[in-house]
Amino acid sequence: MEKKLMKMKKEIQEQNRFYSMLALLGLFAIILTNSGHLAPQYSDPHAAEFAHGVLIGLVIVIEVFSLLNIAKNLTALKDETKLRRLYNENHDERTEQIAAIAGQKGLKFAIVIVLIAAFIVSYFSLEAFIAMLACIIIFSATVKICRLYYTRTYTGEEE
Amino acid sequence: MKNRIRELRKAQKLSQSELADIVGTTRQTITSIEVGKYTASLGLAYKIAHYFNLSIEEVFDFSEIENEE
Repeated sequence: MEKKLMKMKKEIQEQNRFYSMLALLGLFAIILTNSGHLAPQYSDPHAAEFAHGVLIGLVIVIEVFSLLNIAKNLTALKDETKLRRLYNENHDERTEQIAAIAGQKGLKFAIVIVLIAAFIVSYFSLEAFIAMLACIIIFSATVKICRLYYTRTYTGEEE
Repeated sequence: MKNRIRELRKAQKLSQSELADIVGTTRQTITSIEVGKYTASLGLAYKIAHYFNLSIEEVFDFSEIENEE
């Protein structure tokens, strides 16, 4: 039982390291964006301001998400019952199966939607069309690579 | 798959959360198993049966699978 508890703590600490990195990257992105060193190459200044605002908003969401998860994990590390419950939530077999099915179907659906959007956008903007094609290629390649990897490594047992 | 988990759990005055914590799963999964909406894996079924000191066949009803054969 002690061994499992240590494993749980290690996993939660690794998660905290990930969220901390994410929060730091977010801060770095805000500093870089506001420093003026990387000015967006927009001809329309309103579009540049809009893009700047969206980026800042996205970074703030990532920061809040990271900090909330770090706080949740730190609380769990102090309380064994909460730690066990958090670990069980993260490793629940039913939740993992649902995530796998939803992820698989969701990604296929997303590829089709982006494909349709790329077709429509191709009539208006070459850059946007190429960006969407790149997304489709990246999504499809990622799915294929993950499938190959897990076909070789997946044992069905808890890690 | 039908099972006796709710009956066994109530006999021991155990909540779904408490059983979930003991066998290493979530309350939602225990609920889904009890109402037959989700079929537990072999490992989880064994942990549940083992907790109640029963065999898997005494906790879970395999008659549906037997009838399919």
